[in-house]
Amino acid sequence: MNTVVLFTTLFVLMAMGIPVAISLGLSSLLTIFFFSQDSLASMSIKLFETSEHYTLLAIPFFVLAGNLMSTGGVAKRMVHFAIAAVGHLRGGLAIASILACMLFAAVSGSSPATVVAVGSIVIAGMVKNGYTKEFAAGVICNAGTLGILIPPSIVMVVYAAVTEVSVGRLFMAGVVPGIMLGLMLMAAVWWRAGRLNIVPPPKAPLHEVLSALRDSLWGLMLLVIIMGGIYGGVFTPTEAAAVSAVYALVVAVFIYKDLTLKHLPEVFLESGKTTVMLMFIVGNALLFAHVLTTERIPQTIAEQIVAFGMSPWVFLLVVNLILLVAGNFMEPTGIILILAPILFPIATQLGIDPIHLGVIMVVNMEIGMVTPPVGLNLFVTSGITGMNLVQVTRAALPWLLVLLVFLVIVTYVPAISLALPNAIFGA
Amino acid sequence: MKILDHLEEWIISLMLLAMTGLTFVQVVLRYVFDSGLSWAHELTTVFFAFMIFVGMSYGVRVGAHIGVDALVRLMRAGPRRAISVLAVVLSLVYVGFVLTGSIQYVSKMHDVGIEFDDMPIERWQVLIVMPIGYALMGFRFLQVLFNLLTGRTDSLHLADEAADAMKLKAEGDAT
Repeated sequence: MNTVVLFTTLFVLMAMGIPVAISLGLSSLLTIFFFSQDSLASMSIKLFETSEHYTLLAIPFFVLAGNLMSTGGVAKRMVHFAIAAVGHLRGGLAIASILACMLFAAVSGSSPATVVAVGSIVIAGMVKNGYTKEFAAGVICNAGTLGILIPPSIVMVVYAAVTEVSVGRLFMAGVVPGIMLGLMLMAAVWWRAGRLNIVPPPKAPLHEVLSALRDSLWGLMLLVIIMGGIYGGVFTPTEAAAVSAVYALVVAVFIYKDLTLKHLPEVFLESGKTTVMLMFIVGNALLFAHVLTTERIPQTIAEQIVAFGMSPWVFLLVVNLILLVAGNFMEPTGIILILAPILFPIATQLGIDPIHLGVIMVVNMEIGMVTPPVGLNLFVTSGITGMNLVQVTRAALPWLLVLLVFLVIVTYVPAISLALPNAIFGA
Repeated sequence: MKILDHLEEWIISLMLLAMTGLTFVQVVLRYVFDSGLSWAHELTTVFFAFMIFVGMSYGVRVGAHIGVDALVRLMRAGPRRAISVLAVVLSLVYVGFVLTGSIQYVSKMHDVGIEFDDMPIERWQVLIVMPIGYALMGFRFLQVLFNLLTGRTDSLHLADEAADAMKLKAEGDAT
């Protein structure tokens, strides 16, 4: 009964256009108010505790670092390096764009940001070289989703916070799948580019590749700081995030000089705004998760599923279908926050590693970002190319198949996600 | 009103700056000088709390909160306005709930007088930012309600993340 009230209220409120955060908060408060003994005061503490959550503290820092890098010329230099390195291959510019997306994803935690940072530079260049606009837009729109799979990743931080798994582990679990998806997209480009009849630019001489590498080294160093720092146990993911924000600021303002001190307040305000918006959802979602747990909703569902004899294989299939549908209508953070507390205990009962479930959820969120009607990457790609939403959706569609194949592989071969974190941190 | 608007923006930016700076300094102190500030982490969370709870009302003003408005957008202007009015009223109910709860909690903490673990500050002196933030947010929702009723707007103005991402990029290109 409570379950029905909780979820019905949530969906009705959201459908009315009430912000997701408030819908989550109000449906939880109403359920508590009518069905439970908890006081309003104790509910308010739950909301306040969001600000004291150590893992979540990484979010503002990663958002800030990402914004500093996309405005600070880091992406531009990564693109130059990628083109110098692989631009001469068949479909080279498109392959280089994917490489640039992977590199930027390794320093940024957001997918739309990756599309904007790389796409606004490379799409025009690809069109100039004979690629169709659809080809260029489709590739970038999909490759940009790597932003949340290749660490750091804001979506992963949120998942780790609600399920209390280690962020460091989850980050490491995203590395191999991230590289694999990048390579699969590259292979698809290489195959499709055969029909496009495009003459790739000549192979860049080694000294040019090296000089482009040196140019982008300041940005790439960030990758070393984040991954090396967490892997080596030098600092926690939260500290790594703060260090990378400061580092990105120094590089953007004093080394590349692409960002002036005058513009810094805008970048801080914009990052603060994004953080507040995310934290407001997270806080209310933690309240929602609290209601779920006190009402023992996930446990009840889990017991029923286990009693029903559902195998992990079928469960994961169902999870993927639910997530794919949800991904069409909501943005990633909201989905993770609502569904992770429900799916996590069930998965644990069925013997599925929570880290593996995290990676599966992230990959589903990637697909959600390139499917209408709510697909952040589609919106952003439409914004930077001037194509309308229908055109972008159609352009992204063929490459979406690669993502779907990849989802099946990641779902049913856990080792792809788990081998690296287990090797580093122990099983 | 202008002063309040700018105050919100400055608090958000400065809190973010302070959090980043403090955490960074803490890392440097710990690994380079092998020392540290015992109160750094707690102070960082205090800054974070100020940023979140002051920022929420700013979010309502500039329309930064994400929502699903696909269904509402399909409606004709009349029903859409009616639904939006109801949506704002329900948001105000939410604000009322949390405002009441947080005032109860803060006054309880005030009576007990517990201090932070590592700082000589009583907890209620920081916690009070929560009712203040929610009161400010209630005020912003009342503004939206007023605009809806007087016909100055016909929706809640939800966030457009895509537009935000591109705005920042445009600013970067302009430099």
